[in-house]
Amino acid sequence: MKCTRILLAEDNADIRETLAEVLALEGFDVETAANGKEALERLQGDISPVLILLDLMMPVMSGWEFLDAQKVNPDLEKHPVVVLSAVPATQSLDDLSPLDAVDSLAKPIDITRLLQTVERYCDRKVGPTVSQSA
Amino acid sequence: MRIQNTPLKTRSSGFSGALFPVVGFELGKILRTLTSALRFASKEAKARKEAEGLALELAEAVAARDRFLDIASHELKTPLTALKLQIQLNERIFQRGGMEAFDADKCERMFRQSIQQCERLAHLVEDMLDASRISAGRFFVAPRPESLTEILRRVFDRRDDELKNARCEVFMSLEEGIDGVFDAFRVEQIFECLISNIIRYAPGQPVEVMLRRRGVQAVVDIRDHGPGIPSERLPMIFERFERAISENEVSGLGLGLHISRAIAKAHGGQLSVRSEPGSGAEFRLELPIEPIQSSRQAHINAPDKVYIPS
Repeated sequence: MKCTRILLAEDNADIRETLAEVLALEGFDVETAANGKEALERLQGDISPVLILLDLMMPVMSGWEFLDAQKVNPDLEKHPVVVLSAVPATQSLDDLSPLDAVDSLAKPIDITRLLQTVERYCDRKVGPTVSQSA
Repeated sequence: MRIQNTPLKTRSSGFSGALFPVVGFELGKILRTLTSALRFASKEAKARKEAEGLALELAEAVAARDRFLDIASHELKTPLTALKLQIQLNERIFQRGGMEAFDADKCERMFRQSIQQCERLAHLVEDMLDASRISAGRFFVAPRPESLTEILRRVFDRRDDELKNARCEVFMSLEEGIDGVFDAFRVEQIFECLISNIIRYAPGQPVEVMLRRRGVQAVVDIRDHGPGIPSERLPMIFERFERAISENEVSGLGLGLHISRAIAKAHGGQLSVRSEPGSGAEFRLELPIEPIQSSRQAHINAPDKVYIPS
């Protein structure tokens, strides 16, 4: 099976654990981090994820700071990043486009959309989707 | 102006004998016109200044509203995201394994998680409503005879596991029998807020809690040994939507201390802080032990006292 490892950086433990469980249920190997610093440490530990799911507002090192650190390190830059964002009320998802992320998912995250997005970066199909609600 | 049309010469006798009175009359008129114009200009300048001030206030209010919307939407979406993900996950598990996929433990966990997220949402909404009540001058407390010693002990007991998980050892020195008239629910809210801040900002550090009677007042000092509050943020931490550190780093509405201070003032008391970067933070709650007679609302807008720790 190709490229099944995903690095998930999210500070909220409930969201992190549930997302990890969702992805594990679909057969992904999930590495988790509670902030950008932990995510960088996981990457430097050579876990080589096919995709990074990144929250933006995190303590210690935010998602924005993680993207900055990733940009200046050619070894880390190759990993695509999908931002998980509670888009501010006064902004839209388009405002996130200047970020060095390949994609973004607005919170509250829809599992169907999440899995469709993950699928795009993995050479495999995920299991049956259930909910179509946005 | 009309002076330009006034004939200064008569056809028969050259300069008119009435010239000077006319000039005097016209000069007086000019002066009155000029004075009136100056007055008008002065009023206009004042009005313009007032309008500029109002425009600035309006821009600040709009910016504050946008900032609040951003923070509130982020904070509300966090438990909403967790709740939605948990429901969707269970939906997928059910789709694949039916009811057999759910044993008693799994069901219990599922219900507990859902209830926790709903409580978190309700708490956020309640904080926002409190902030609105404070802003509108409609924030009240409902004091009843209570023991402050017991209130303080009860809250620290309730948060004991969380404090232990955060490796915060608590040293309590409580004077017994400090009984007065307090809104226990609201006073607990102050201690809950201070404990949450300690867990968030000062994990791994000891906490000292002291309660004593000082005249007609009960004084509670809660001191942590965390990183302290940066001096430039210290004057603002009781304001709405303020946090001790950057909003990108720690979540929360930034209303806890704002509401806590309002609760203290509604009791006729005070909540103050002393902190130096690197030396932790010390919050002092002063509450009158005797019931206050006047409208509690008046105390919310009372000037803040300077906290000089003994």
